[in-house]
Amino acid sequence: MSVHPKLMIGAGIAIAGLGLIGAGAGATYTAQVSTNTSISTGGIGLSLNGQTGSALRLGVDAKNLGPHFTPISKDLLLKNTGTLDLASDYLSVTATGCDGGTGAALAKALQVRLTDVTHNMQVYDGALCSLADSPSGQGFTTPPVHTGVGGQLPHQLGAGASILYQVVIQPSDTAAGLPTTAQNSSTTVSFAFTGFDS
Amino acid sequence: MAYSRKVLTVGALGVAALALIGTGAGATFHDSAKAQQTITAGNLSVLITSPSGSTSPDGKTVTLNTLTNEPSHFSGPQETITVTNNGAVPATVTGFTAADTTNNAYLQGALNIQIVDSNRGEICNDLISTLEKGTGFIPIPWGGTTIATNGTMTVYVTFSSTGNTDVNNGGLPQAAQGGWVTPTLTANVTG
Repeated sequence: MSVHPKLMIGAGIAIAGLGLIGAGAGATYTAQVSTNTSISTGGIGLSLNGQTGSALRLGVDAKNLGPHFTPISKDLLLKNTGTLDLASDYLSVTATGCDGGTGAALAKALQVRLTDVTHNMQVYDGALCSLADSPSGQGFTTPPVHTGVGGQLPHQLGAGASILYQVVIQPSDTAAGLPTTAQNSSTTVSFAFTGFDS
Repeated sequence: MAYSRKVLTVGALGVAALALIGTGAGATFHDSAKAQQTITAGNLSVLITSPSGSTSPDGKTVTLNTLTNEPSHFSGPQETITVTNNGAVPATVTGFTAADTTNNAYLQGALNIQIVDSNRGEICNDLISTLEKGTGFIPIPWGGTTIATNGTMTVYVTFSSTGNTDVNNGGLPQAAQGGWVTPTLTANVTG
């Protein structure tokens, strides 16, 4: 079928008109303004006696102990090496044998005394295995803000600050000393400090 | 001189045609009236300012105070941002576009932004990373805020860690320590 020339022209004009309408509707003025800021986080870190890591050795010579051994004393300098204050810090103590396994007689016959030397405050003085099982009472803060990381220590640790703790381990019964069943046994005692910024 | 009938007929038609042409050209009354109007296009222009930030010389960008050494659970100060219509036509803020640069994806992924219109209420309260997905456009829920000429729109912007009120849950992840992020919020305006 042939299309009359006039009809074709008319159709062309109509399409052009629609095109103009479309262009007019979309041509709004636009503008933009913006704002920005910079946000950075701090960090936390702990050192114990100047060392970092999770497997530090206390360097205590406690081998071949006799039943009335001299109390084992060790100073622990806990330092916040980060840029953020620690809102709370914790000590978790574990000792092999407290669960009844190898070394149980020795572990259960030991007593621990933990002192916050910096603040002249005794934090704990009692059975080693009680401290390992449920650190509470005395200088520990209860209820702890965070759980599962041991007992909450009584003082916060600001950025760059240090707290000196002293740990003393001795027989629970100082008069009787270690029991005979504790001969030729050993226990490994671990102290783990954890800090939180909140 | 004698003319044939055919010739006479042609001559008569020719006169008649001339007469019609003459009637058309000379017998038209006419007048004209003209209306004119000057149309000037208005300009759309907005400026942005903040009492706690510094504005660029062109007034189009405000840089807020830097938040540094933030802990795992934080909520920055509520920043007041004012968009001023200094143009000649009403300006409608249709929404904001969020973007950022960062060196720490963990921080970026856990950073929250809340935008509140001082008159209408909350525009958004979500992770920046979530808002940035897709086009990054954050529409104003009620369709937009129109600022009259010389008028202003004030919004409050607060950056925070997720779960900033719960010390045991939420907050920035451990790997966010020592990171930085520079979020940029752009107001989209139409006139």
